[in-house]
Amino acid sequence: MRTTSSSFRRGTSTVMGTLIFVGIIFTAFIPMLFVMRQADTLHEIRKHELGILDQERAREEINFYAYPLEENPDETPDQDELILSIKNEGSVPIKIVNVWINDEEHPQEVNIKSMETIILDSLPVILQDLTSYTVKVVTEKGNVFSSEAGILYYSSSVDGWYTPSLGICVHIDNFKGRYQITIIKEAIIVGYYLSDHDEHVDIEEIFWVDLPGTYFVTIEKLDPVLGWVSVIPPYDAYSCLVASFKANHGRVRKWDIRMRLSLLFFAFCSALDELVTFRILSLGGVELNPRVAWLISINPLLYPLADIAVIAIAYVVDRLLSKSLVDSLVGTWLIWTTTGIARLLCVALSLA
Amino acid sequence: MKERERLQERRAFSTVLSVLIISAVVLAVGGGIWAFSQSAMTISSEDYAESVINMTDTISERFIVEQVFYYPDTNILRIWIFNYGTVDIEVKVQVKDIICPSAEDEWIEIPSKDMKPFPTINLDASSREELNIKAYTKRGNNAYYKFFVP
Repeated sequence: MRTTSSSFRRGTSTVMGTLIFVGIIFTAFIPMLFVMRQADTLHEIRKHELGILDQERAREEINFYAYPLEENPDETPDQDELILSIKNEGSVPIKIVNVWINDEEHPQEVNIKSMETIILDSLPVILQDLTSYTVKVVTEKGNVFSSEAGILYYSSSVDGWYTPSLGICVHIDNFKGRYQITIIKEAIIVGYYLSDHDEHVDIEEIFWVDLPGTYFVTIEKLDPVLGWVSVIPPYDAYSCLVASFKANHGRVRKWDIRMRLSLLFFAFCSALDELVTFRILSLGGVELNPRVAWLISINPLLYPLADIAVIAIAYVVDRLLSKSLVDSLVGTWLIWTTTGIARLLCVALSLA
Repeated sequence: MKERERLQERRAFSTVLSVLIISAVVLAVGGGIWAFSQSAMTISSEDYAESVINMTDTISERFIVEQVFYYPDTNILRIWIFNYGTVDIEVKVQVKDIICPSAEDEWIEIPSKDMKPFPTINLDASSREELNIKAYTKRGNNAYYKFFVP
């Protein structure tokens, strides 16, 4: 009887303690874990959403130009309005929320699908003589893009707008066909583009020009029967005024690289030729080129010195051509490359 | 015999009483622990959730220096900040050693998906000078912008 009573008492407190423990687990600890887990889950979801947002933002890519309003090619453009042509070149839709022209904001609500081009309504500009205008476009995802035309300048002395980079951009909308574009100044072709085959996408070509002035742009499409036909009838060509006093350096740099590479090639071939020549002469051979033979007869050092002089002159000529912005159709790099190949042939003949 | 029975009855009474007392103590102590545990865990979970939410807000902040413009005639610099994120932000900007707004506890509030201009900054900058503009939020995120004075 006593034993029963004692175990009964121990059992009661144990059961109650267990119940309280289980109660604490279920009413405090598990809800706490649940809340923590839920907070973690929400955090992870948010992180995932942000990752997607950042990725989409990084994939946004637009190409836009700002230019003065010109409804009729025969009329003078309205100077105090700018038109924006925006092309979504990315793979995600883009929403334009703002356009900046200097410190003037122009809120927008424009959606552009992938690979779609839209023209925004003309935007007013407060014109001030000799003032630069920076045009920017802001997207909903926080990207800011600047006009491909660069900073626009306005000056009444040059009949309105101009850009520091001198170029003519030709944009052909999504039409199927083979096109050729020619840029002519004073009866000289200064730019030419021929599409390789039937295009199914927009054609966009920028022709950098060196000097301001009036250029004529012809755009022709290949007709199977009629041949090349102008796509801007009744006109044969657009008259395009490039008004700027600043030189463009984009194309010069391109030429510069070619020039440098061709010069290096020429120098390498010359050095090789000299080495082979002196090697053969030291073995008792005879120089067949009478001018080289004459130089070597005076002093063997004159031969490499003459080559160094030629390379130095070539370098100076290239530098002068680049700086003076003489028409880049003068392809000096071809001359240096050809000369280098000729020297290589001499090496081959000497070794033969 | 009667005495024995009486004693047995009394022992039963004390047994019941002791069970009741023990049970009451267990209930009281257990209830106390229960209440303490519940409140402690509620506070812990709330703190944890709040810290996670704060952290989420911090990593959710997205903003850029949308536009900067310098007025050379008046030596005034203007800055616009665009909050393209999903949470409201409080921002200051720093250009050189100038902080705007200058008061320590003053911040510019920018709601989500909104753009706001900052108060004008008087800054004497020379042409072609490079200005590094830093915008930072109360939560500690930064955005930088390099601006060349025209």
